[in-house]
Amino acid sequence: MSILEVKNLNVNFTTLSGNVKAVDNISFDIAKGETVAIVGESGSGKSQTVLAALGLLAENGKATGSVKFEGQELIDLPTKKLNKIRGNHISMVFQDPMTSLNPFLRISDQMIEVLTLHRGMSKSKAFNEAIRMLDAVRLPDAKQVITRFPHELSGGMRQRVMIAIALSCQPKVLIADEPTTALDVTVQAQMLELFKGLTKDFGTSLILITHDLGVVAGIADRMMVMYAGRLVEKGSVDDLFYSPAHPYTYGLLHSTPHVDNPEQRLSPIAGLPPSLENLPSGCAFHPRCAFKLDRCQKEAPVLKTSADGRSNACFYKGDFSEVGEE
Amino acid sequence: MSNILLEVTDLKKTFPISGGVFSKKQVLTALEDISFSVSKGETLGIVGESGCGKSTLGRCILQLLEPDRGNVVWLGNDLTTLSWKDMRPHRKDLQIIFQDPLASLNPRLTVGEIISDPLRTLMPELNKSQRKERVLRMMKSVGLLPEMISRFPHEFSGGQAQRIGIARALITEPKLIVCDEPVSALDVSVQAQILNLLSDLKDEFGLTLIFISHDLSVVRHVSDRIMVLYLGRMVELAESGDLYDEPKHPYTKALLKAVPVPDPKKAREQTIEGLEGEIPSPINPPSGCTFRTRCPIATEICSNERPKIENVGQGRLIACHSWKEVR
Repeated sequence: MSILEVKNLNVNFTTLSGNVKAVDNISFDIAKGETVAIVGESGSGKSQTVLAALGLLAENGKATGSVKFEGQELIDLPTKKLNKIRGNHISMVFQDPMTSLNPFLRISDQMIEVLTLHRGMSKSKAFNEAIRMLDAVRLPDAKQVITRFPHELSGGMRQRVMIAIALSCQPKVLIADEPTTALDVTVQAQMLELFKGLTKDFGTSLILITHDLGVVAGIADRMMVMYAGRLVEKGSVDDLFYSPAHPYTYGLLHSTPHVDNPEQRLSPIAGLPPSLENLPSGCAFHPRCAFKLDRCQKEAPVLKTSADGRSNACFYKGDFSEVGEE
Repeated sequence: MSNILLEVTDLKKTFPISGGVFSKKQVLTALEDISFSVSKGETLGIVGESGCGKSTLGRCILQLLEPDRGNVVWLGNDLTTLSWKDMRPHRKDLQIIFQDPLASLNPRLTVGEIISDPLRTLMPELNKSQRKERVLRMMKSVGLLPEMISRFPHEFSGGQAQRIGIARALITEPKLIVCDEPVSALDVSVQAQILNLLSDLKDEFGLTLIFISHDLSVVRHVSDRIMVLYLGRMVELAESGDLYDEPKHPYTKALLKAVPVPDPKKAREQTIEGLEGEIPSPINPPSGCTFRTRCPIATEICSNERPKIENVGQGRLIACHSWKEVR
């Protein structure tokens, strides 16, 4: 049974230069205890997809379609009702631990606020619970740290506090938007272990947004690849890494330097990601695609699911190894 | 040896930290005991986590920061002893590419003006048309179209802006370029384009590179030799193949283990014996070996004595009391 179901989600922004479609008809679901990664480059719509699901879009954004949490529709749900779900059942960890904490409040105040508001605890009980949460994310010296202000903590410590806050209501779904991008590798490794433990021990479902394929390989069960607001490929991590079916997925994998295979020259994807205000006709990827066919310029391929459970939006059905670097 | 371009010995750099009126003045030691040389045509990678001093080192080499102690000898001249004016002629040979491509370009100048700026100051013998010709040639080499010459930086994406930064660094035909996290701000597909471009340009112009990055996969990809820094000290320096295949310093080992591998099957097998804790503050570093607080094999001697840099053969340097025990 899937815990979160997203169907035909669209996100549109009204801007000075007209309407911009940031997310175009995306559907996916996530099961209990599962980790799904959303992969894509900047501007591909990966963050907007989850922000829309939580009703956190900017003022000029509008989401249509359906996002169901345990059967309840979240899109256009009144804020009051949404607040019962956000934080309680679905919480989010943001990319930048520097700017997501309130610099004027001690860590204790920020954590207690969540616990009193969502779980109706008394202040003293909330304080003890907050310390317990900080211990759970393995923050050393929790009793000491909780009395400090955010600027007194390092990046890794702040990110642990963010995760502790997100987990303090024992959410069923945790959304992490580039949670380790701002951290050093050794600290990143600690965080990823922490996330792995969560899904295993508490059955938390995790949506991980990242551009780092190394992170995806280590932690996710399934992955979705987005390009210019559309889902181009979806499937198990093994399927997508070992036999990518979309040229963009293939391109991403071959642009990533491997520690174990340094001699190999990288095969970058030619060109640059398009602007959402001015998308190419047909398949948005066709100007950069080494395998494009005539029809790619006129027709946008639809995401189709095959019998083995993989989905792919591409007309090209051949092998990728034939065409090399441009 | 005659093919050594740059030799750095015993470099030290500190920054004063001004406390309040009543508090004691403190000193942050950004770099200490750094010695290495760079040969013609090679790429030396410098890796380490934030605050390890890698950018400071790049800037000290170029004399953009004045080291407290030590020598930076460039082709027989000790740059640390030169006045700003005497340094001028060498600036032509020593250039830098910065991390944030858009922030490092003057928003009020056109692409042509940005790229030709170093020529005006460093090669005044060229006239206007010669400068323009050079700029156009360089734009072509880095993959920019000629019509972009009169555009402004804000019209470019990160990847293209980095191409402008590279063109500006290359325009004086330098011998050595310090690349300070040149691809960290870019998307993966664009990052690969820039890495390939740098390697092509290196061949085309016979460049020597010092490549600073926190991304170990990227450094491995581009470097011939790699230096690992931790809290301002060099912990290991070796040929990149040797370093990755058989890291000897416990920090190098831990750092390499923490790199996520973009291969699901290998990633699942990989046990992350993560390092505990975080990097201590450089204002008040641990006594003895600065890594001892996180080191799995630290013993008593590590807190009393700073490990000396040992040459263990094949050009490999290690600073650890018990590196022989690392398996």
